Amino acid sequence: MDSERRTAIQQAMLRLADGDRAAMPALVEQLWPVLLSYAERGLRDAQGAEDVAQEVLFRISSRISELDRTRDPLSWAFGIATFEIMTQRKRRQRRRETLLGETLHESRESAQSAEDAVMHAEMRAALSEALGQLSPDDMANLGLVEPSRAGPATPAMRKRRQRALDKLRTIWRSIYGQP
Amino acid sequence: MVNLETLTSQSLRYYERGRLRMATRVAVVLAPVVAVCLLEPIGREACACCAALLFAASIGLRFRNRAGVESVSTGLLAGAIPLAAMLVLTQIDPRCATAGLFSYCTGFSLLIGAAAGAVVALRERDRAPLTSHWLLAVGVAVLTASLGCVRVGIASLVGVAVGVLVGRAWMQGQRR
Repeated sequence: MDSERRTAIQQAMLRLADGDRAAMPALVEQLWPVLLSYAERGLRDAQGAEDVAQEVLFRISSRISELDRTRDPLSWAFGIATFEIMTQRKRRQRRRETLLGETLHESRESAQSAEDAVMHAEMRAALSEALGQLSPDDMANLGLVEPSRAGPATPAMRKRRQRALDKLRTIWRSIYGQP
Repeated sequence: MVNLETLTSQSLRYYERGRLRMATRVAVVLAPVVAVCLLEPIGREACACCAALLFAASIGLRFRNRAGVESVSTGLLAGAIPLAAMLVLTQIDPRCATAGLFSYCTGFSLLIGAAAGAVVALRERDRAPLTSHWLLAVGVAVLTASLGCVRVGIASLVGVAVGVLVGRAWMQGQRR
């Protein structure tokens, strides 16, 4: 920044601090490019830098009435700009972390549900294969084909169901080799 | 790409909002003083009226420019002397409220008014480049003093006002 621009900005800021509203166009004209390039350097993102520079300009305008005349107005303005840029960078970093966390969580959940579905399908197929080797009578004793037999259990029916279950266990062992 | 004209008008809006916020901060000082004055049962309505005027004048002047801020500070500082003195006087001698124009109460008002005027003159000298017209500071000082004076009577308020003018003129004369 050349010394001419620096002086013009300082004078405009002091005039505004004193209550001279007419100094605002001069301040915006001189200070805006400086703030924009400062924000671009700080954020390395043109679109984001424009938003931040705008925010800084509004903040300076809003607080300029409290400017201490003994301090350098430009240093004061850059203090506000630096703070705003740092805040924006932290906000972005936090957002990135949150997004990353959410994505990881979602992918973990979806992976888990897919794994469960595959296991269920495999179990169902295995059970169907084992049941397919049972006789229709054993199927009926287990209540899988004729719901009418599923009434009050008599000792004979319980015995028949027990035998059918034993057969199913034997078939399961013979196919998959485990209980 | 940002339009500089739009940016300027938006910045001006933020500026005015900031100035108003800064101007209303004077309420932090004024509110307790006004509350103390309103606790006194005598002349409460007149006191409330003066307080409203003082609030409006202080905020308006501070909002306008820095010179206004200085005038209000000077006026409040100077006016605090007769305000406090009158509050004490009301407690010590309640007869002042009904005393005539030519009583010791009016004399006392003139005296403390002169002290307030001296403060105005001194502050004017110390902060010469920042102050606006001296009448603004005197006006705020008289309004501040009126919070304590109105219950004692108009004579005391006039006494303080004259005292402020005399005190300031005397200090100015001393300086030359």
